[in-house]
Amino acid sequence: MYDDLNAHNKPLRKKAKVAVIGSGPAGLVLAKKLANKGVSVILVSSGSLSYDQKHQELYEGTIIDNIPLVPLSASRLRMFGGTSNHWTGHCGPFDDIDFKIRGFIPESGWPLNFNDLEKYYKEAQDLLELGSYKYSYKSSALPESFAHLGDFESSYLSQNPFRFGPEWRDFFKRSKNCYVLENANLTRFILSDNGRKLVSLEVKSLDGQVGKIECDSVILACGGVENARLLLNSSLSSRLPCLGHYYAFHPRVVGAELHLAKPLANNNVFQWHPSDGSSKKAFLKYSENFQFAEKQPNYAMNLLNRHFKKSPEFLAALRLRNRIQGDSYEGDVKDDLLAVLSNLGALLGEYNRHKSSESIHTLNLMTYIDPTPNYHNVIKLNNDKDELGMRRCTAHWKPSDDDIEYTYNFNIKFAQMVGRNGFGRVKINPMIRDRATFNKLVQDSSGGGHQMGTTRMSKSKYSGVVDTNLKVHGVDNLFCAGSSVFPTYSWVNPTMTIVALSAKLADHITST
Amino acid sequence: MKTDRRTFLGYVGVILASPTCLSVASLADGKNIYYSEELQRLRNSLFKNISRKDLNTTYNISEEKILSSLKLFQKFPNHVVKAVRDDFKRNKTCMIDGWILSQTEVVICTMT
Repeated sequence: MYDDLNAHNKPLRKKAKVAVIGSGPAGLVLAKKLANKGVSVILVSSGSLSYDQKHQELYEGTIIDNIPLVPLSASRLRMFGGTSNHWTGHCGPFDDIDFKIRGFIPESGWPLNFNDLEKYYKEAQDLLELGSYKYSYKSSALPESFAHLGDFESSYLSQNPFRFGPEWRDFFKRSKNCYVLENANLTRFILSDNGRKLVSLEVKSLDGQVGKIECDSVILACGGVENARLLLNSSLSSRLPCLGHYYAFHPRVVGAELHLAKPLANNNVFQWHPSDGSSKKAFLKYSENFQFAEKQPNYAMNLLNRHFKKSPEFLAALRLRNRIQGDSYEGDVKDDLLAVLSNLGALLGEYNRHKSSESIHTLNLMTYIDPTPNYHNVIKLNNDKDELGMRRCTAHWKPSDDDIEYTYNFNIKFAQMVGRNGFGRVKINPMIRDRATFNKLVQDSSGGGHQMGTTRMSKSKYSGVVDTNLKVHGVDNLFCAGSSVFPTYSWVNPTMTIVALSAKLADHITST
Repeated sequence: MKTDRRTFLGYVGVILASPTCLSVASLADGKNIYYSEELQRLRNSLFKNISRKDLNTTYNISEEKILSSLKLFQKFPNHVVKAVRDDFKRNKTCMIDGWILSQTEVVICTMT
């Protein structure tokens, strides 16, 4: 059932077995799975089912040197369904090697392995409605000229921009075990005298209504930045030396172009195409053996058709299409309609170019970087405060020298693979070699929406914030869910791993 | 020599069929097959602006490699394709205007 904190004149008091803070993919998967298992859950949701600018402004923060370029208040959505209300839906499981300790990458390795998560990845595949669980291409699926990749192999991502909020709102409306409290923002953790247990939580609405929640377990599921900001704003911050550290996102840079010997069809497997019940796209990546032999991280190459840059009127048409389909819409209908109608001729030409099967000779090569874990990349509180009196945060992220060198090497190795196989030649953008220009390429990329690592998983509180069961070190009943717990980040988009870890955490909570 | 050159260009440009080499072939055959302006620029810079000395000093291609590539081209042009691929296997490549090219193809394209 749904309730609105603003609808209560008196301070609200609620009790449940579990409180889930945050209503993005992680929080909703947890709340739904727990409720289905008969556990009483309070789901605390900042904002409501529809977008609200005042709640969104709670996300404002500072980014040092504009890396990532996407503002903290734009990369995330603070409403029911969270950022899934505007995501593109790219999904895949992390690779086996992402979980392994790699001696050449300091602080790599998860305290759990791929097998621990595999059944939850399959569960996530179903929850995200991604069709059948297949993530390695047979070589026959690739164009003939890509049949012998040597040190590289193919992999792919699935795509389904599943909108958790609209899709699951009826479930939560009907659920007897889950009580959804809207317009409620966590403002305070109240700890037991010995500090080892959370006794209750204080929540507040932007209109000033307050509430108190008592529960056996609390799960923070507010995302890669907000989980850390909430804890940094609490008395727990001094007990967690790694809190906020190891912040990362997925930098993606167009660092080269591939000129093909034999042209490919426009609708080749390296572009999104229907397959196995969803949309899929092939990538080329280092094989695991090669990564260990050559001491290289888990990078992948995205082969992009070059006319992917869309005109303003084309983007306006896409926004209008999204609005018709009922997706979230950030634009002005009048402006968008005017842009479309006044450029109909050009728009039709552009649409035909996108849809035609004309052959292409040149592809842009976008490197999907697996950033190295770095203690000095960090989310810190600054002196600004939000409407609720909570301190805002500043994101510091810089690529390491290793990140830049690895990116350059990856493009060179890719170029050599291409030459060895005779399917073309690669032209490298020299900007990927130099720090200043590399930063510019990162800013130009679409990366920045995947915040990760700020409450990383570890065996000890001296190397992370949560343990293998996602429980905060030193607090018996506080857990974190979401990409903030990732110790390393892979090249793969994070949502499927977020969902898998949330499903695993729900099992853990119900088994204890 | 001219026939050999054409044979080589035929192999590199058509059988190997890399666009870089296609531009070489088009130069020899007087055709105009270019996949991009960038390749046109590369053709000009590669063949007109690089000297033998540059191969040594700028692109770190050894004197021995220059001589062996020229010899291969003159005596066994049919083996050039394999030599180019071997260069990529053994990291015997160099970067010219951002292009990652095999040392063999750079030597032959520059020196013949």
